[in-house]
Parts: sequence; structure tokens; C-alpha cells
Amino acid sequence: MTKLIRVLTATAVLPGAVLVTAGLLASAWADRLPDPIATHWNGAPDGSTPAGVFVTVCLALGAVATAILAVTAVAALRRGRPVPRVTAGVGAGFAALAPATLISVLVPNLDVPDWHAARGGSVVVLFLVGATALGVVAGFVGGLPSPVAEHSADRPSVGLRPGQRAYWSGRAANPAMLWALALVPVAIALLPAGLSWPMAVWIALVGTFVTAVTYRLKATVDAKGVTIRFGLFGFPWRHVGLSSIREATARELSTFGDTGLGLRFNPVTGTTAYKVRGGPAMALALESGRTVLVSVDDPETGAGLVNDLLAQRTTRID
Amino acid sequence: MLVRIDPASTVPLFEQVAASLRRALADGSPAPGEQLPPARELAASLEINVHTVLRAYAALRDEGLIDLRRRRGAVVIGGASARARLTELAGELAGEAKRAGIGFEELTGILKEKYS
Repeated sequence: MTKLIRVLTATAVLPGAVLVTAGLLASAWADRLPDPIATHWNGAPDGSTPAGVFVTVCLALGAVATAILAVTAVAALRRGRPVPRVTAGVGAGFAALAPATLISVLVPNLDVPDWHAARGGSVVVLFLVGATALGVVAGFVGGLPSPVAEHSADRPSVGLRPGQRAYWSGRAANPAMLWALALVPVAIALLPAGLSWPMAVWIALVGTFVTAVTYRLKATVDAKGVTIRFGLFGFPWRHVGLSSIREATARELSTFGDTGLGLRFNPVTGTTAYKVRGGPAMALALESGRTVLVSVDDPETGAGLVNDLLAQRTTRID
Repeated sequence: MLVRIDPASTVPLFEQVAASLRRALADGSPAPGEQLPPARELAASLEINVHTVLRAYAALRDEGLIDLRRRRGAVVIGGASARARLTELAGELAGEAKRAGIGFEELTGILKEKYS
């Protein structure tokens, strides 16, 4: 129950309080505002919107964002999934953004005869910082790991004995992606009424860069943990410390399912995928309740070594 | 590829590293043209001296399994898989012959007979 209260506080009560405050202030200030009000600044006010429309739209956006956030978070909690800090924090900050913007727009419009006379809009920074701070607080209050799950029955092992040391490296590549991304700009350039040459060259360069970064990856396992490196330059990369891993398993991924190709993060399930192709992948279940998926050849061996090193860690006396 | 060592074993560490890599090469992963992990990285992961790893790589080069290049590191040579498997089998064969008290001349005699 306390978990539900924490999640609801972060995703409904905090952004909801901002929403209600914004609504009360807007109605209390109704007599002190010009109509229309200044809603855009470029040094001086240069755009206006009818006060009623602006207030309604901002409050509606805030209400919808808060509702979506709270429903998603509670649904995740009900299914025993983690509510990552980042998700709760960014969600709450985002939900508070529209009401914060509303107040920051109303304040410079107070007690002016006409929207042209509105004061500078720099006060918006203050409210954006406020929304960010609210996001940080919500992240700390509402971020929850998933309940500790039982170890999987089919936990792979490589039979590492006490005292032995080991290193594993696995890789995966997607040559089809290489071809597809190389051919896309050519196809675009050759289309009737296609792009200008500089634009085609630019797209080709970006395509080549993206391909070089994401068409293959390498994962290594040793006593320090799991390191994942993408592409030709070994970037983006990530190191998952052994102490933050609960267990490792091997699993089959579909090419476009399981969050899709590339470096993906699903905020609802807390799953991060490092994926260059479908097929065999190593799945790391973290202590925090999140999951890290790595598409890599021969994942049984890599996952087995992770599990054996974890077992060694619990028996070893340092 | 899985490299496994046992510091408590009487077998020298470089031989253990070479044996693990030979096993991986025999299984065809890494494939010809691919690289072995950088010696420094492997040494750090196994908590052993980098020269121990380099010695293992030199042994694999002498067996004709990998090519050591200044820029590209340790690259697997074409046909390394079959050669690695043969080297492993030959190692077992020699060990078995020694245990059975069969001399080198006698062993090569058996081999010649089987090969023809």
C-alpha cells in the first residue's frame, strides 16, 4: 500500500497540486488580466491569445498528462514492474510543465491595461526550474524497483569452479542494416522530384554515421561486470557492474519487437536494449528491477559466466 | 569466446590462456578475419600480466592460428578452426602416448600407418 501511495504521490498528487494551484490562481486573477493576454515574447511581447482559451488549453494539457502518467505508473505497479526514477521524475516534471507555463505567462500580464504592455517573460525560467525540481522530488518519491523475483529455473552456467577466473566476449553484427542504410540515401536521391544533391549527400553522411555506430556491438564479461560497446568506435558504451546484476539468462528477441533495433529504453518496463538484430540475446536482470537486453551471439555462455561469477562473489571472502 | 584460467593449477597460465583460445578457435568463433581481444584488455579482465597473454598469443601464432600485426592486433587466419582442432587432438595424442609409455618413433609409425 505504501508503494501505491508513493507512486500516486509522485505521479498524481505532486503534478495535480501544481495543476490545482494554477487553476485557482487563474480564476483569482481573472479580473486583473487583460483579454487577450500576451503569450509570446521576443524581447517584448509579440503574440497574444484570448485569456480563456490559453487557461483552458494549459489546464487541459496538464490534466491529460497527469492522468496518463498516473494510470501508466499504477498499471506498472500492479503488474509488478519497476517504476524507474527517471520515468516518475520526467513524467511528473512534464505533467507540471503546462500549469507552470500557465502561471509564468499570467504573472507578467497582471494589472496591465493591454497585452502590449505586459512585462518581460523571463520569469518563465523560474517556473521551468520549479517544474524540474518537482520532477526530481517525484523521481525520489515515486521511483520503485520491482519486487524481488525468484531466480529463473533455466539459469545457464559454464561450470566455473571456485578460484577460477574467466573472460568472455561475444559480438553481433547486422550486415543487412549496413546495406539498407547505405542504400536509403541513394534511393532518395534517385526518386523522381527527389532531393537536391547537397541534401542527398548530407543524408548519406548521417546514414553512414548511424550505421557505423549501430550495425554491430561487442559485449564482454569478467569479474568486474558486463561491458557493452556499440559499433566501430565502441560508442555508445555501458558498463554494468557485477554487484548490480541479479541474474543473467539467454533469450530470443524478435527483430522489431522487444523495443526495436538500436539503443532503446522502455520507460514503462524499465528495459534497456542494446540490439543490432533479432535472435539470441543475453538478458541481465538487475537488482533495481530493470532489465538490460544485449543481442549477441552465443548468449548462453556469456549469461552462464555472469551467473557463475555472481555465485563466486557470494562465496568468496575478500 | 570464453577464456578460463585456474591460478591454482600447475599448468602455466600462458598455456591455459592459449588452450582456452585454441578451444574457441576450434569452435569457429572468432571466425577468420576477426580479432582476438586486445592483450591488455584480456590481461586486465583475468588479473594476469599482459606479457602472459602476449606469450599465449605468440604460441598461437607459432601454431599458425593467428597473425600478430602491429596495428590490427591478433587476427584469426583462414583455416584456423581445423588447425586448432588438429593441434588440440595432437596434444591429446601425445599425452596419451606418454602415459602409455609409447615413444615418439613408435607414435609417428602409428600415425604414418593411419595417414596412408
